[in-house]
Amino acid sequence: MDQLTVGIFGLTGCAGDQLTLLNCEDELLAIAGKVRMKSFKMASTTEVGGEIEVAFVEGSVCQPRDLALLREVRGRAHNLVALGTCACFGGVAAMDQRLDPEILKEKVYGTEGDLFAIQRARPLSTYVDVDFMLPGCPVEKEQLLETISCLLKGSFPEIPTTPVCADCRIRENVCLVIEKEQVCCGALTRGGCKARCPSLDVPCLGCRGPVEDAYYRAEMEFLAARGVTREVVRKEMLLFSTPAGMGERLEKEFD
Amino acid sequence: MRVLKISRDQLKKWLDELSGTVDLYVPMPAGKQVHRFEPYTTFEELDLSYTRTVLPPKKFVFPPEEVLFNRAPSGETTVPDLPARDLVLFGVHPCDINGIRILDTFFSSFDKPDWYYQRRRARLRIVGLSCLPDEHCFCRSMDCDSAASGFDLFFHDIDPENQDRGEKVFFVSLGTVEGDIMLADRADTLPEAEPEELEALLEYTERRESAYTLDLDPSILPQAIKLHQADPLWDRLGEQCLACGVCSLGCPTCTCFNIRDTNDLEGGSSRVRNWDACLYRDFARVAGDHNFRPHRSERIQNRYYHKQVGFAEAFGKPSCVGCGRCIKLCPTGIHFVEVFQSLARERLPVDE
Repeated sequence: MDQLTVGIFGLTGCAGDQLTLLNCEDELLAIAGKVRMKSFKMASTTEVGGEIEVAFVEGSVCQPRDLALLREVRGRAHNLVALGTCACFGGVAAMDQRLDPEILKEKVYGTEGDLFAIQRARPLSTYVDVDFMLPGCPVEKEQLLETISCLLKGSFPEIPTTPVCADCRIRENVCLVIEKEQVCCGALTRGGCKARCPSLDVPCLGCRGPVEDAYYRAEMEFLAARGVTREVVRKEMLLFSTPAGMGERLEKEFD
Repeated sequence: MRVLKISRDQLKKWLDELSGTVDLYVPMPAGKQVHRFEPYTTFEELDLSYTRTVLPPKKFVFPPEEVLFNRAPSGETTVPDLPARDLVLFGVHPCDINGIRILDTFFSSFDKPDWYYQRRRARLRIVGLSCLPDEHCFCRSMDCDSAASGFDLFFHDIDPENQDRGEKVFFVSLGTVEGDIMLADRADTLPEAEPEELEALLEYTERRESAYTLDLDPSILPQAIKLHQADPLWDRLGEQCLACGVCSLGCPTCTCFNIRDTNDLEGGSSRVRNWDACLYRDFARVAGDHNFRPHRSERIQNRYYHKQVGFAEAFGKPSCVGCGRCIKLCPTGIHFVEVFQSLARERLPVDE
């Protein structure tokens, strides 16, 4: 495929994944030669409607207008790529599903919150078919470029499904759990980040979202056995490592 | 085999010289708790009394990620070059030397030996170093506590606790002609060990043997695994295992890999192989989303079965050298030796 028609859309989120694309400074010209951008509000006010080959959608669905935009984009796009952890799994916005969204809104916006409606944060796949998920907070630049390159050839890339522990051990880091007795979500979390944080002695917060068969109970048990309170482990896990909706299950399993 | 004597100062001079002509890698401390094989900088920085590195030397012959070939948009393919200089690994312990021997067997066992492995192996020179076991070592049980061959030179340090002693000497065994050449003209000038020094070397060997705290009988391993395939132990391990895969990644003899193609914006591509592990869910997943081993308990059992039964039946001995990395690296404390002791105790008559 010589040129790919693409749209980049943001739901509720920090726009960090869209920014990652703009930060591909050395590759922007090459991308511009291969991609016909139909919509990218962060970079251009020009909006072109109609069919697109690929829609990259960032953020989670937190408002009725997010859902309306998502459905509209899905209807126009041959392929829909969930861009970033919020779009893939719900991310930080979906952190604690026990909390009432209305109370959260009031806490953050006060009476100004009356101006817009919100709903419980969910990932894209709750509402529409997602063709490919590219997790990350933000997404890794190389993986984003690889995704575009593969889409140009009509396929999706193979991105790592292994946990952060794999990246971490390949870098021969000190294990923050074994050797420093910290709470690290590396074993629960999708790798492919080259273990950025543990390599700097910062425990993994799980920002790339959960591996497919994340085993929360075993992680909870062994951290608890090392004297970490269950509440601390739960809090760390809920930040990113659990997909939206897992919160209730964690409650059931651990309380 | 001749045993020569070399002083600490002579060793330092030799390594300084050698690092000018080869790619020299040595055990280096990374923080207090872990070691890695890294490029030689200065003699003072390397740690001669290290216990084990996080990754075994397999990373030099079978790297975590390796580009097999690049394909330009024109269709022309090229294989990345390797450096022309030899790669000398100094300070390899016997378990890891045996690990490389197992890799040699495995990667040359097919109709076509693995070309990528062979070309890395051809430039690798191995200089062994003696060691004292810690609480995770069970190389003696796996008959890998010494290396009869598989090294070019081997250094014995019979006083490893005292690294800074002024008159410190090492005893050097010559393993190959290449080892002799590596020592340059020193091999002819270094004195041979005196009889009483050989005696001291033997005493050290005995001291080392009595330092092992882990023990298992490898002759019963295959039967224990085969007999107990339905044992509830595997389910318990499945409940404990996080499937993080580090036991495989850190294993000196685990060789599973994935191959994938990557693309670039210009239309070029690369074929890449990278380490994989049977503990991962995607490892045995095939078309149609069928998975031969969907549960962690099946995967962990498969790993034990493969290493102690499958490999042993195909190659005559298990693919385990007792280096203790899988024990040391497991975050949830799954203990290879205890797993076997538990299986053996339950059902097989074994002398305690």
